[in-house]
Amino acid sequence: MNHTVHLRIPAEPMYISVVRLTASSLASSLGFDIEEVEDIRVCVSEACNNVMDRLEDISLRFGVEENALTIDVDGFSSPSSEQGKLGYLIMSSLMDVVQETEQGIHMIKAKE
Amino acid sequence: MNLTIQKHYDTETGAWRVTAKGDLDIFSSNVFRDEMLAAWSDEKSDIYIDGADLAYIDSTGLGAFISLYNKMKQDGNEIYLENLKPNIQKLFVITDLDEVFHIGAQQ
Repeated sequence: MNHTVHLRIPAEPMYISVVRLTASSLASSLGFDIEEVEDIRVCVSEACNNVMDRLEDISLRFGVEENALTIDVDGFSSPSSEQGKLGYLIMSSLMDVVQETEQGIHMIKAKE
Repeated sequence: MNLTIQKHYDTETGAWRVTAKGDLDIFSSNVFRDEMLAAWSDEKSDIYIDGADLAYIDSTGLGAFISLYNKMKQDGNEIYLENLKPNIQKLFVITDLDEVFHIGAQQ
């Protein structure tokens, strides 16, 4: 299995819950446990928080694989604010891979 | 908003008692911070937050607690977070904020 789910939301805080719902739905379908689903929910939000003030739309791609969920968020940039750094710390602690790319950020959560 | 805040000043213990129900995220954290700051300015004392129904928090919510605390600490007041769900408590530990706030998990 190797599917991609594309999601594009207006960069407005009210739509962030749509992203979280999508992420937890995909993670649950893949069989992640409750704790892992929570980790994924937080990290996808953190990536979007980073982009929120700078872009008009937020583009995300969820890669659905047999034993992993990958998340790409376009437009991510290294945080400079204290809060942004907290967000980055949370992402790097909870995801298996967090990689800044030319397009934005790439994260992987693998099933235990 | 995706967050419901209830608060009252408990004259017996001389502290704020607050329940926060829902998501403390980029959509709600500024309102939460401003509302708590206004309350604390009225009655400067410790703040106890019951997190039993707090479903979600991220760096924006943590940031709200930090800026609230930065104001409160000049007057020697503290923030207590009680009954936190494990996934929320974990974020305070990861960010070392469990050393800034008094954190209590769900029993």
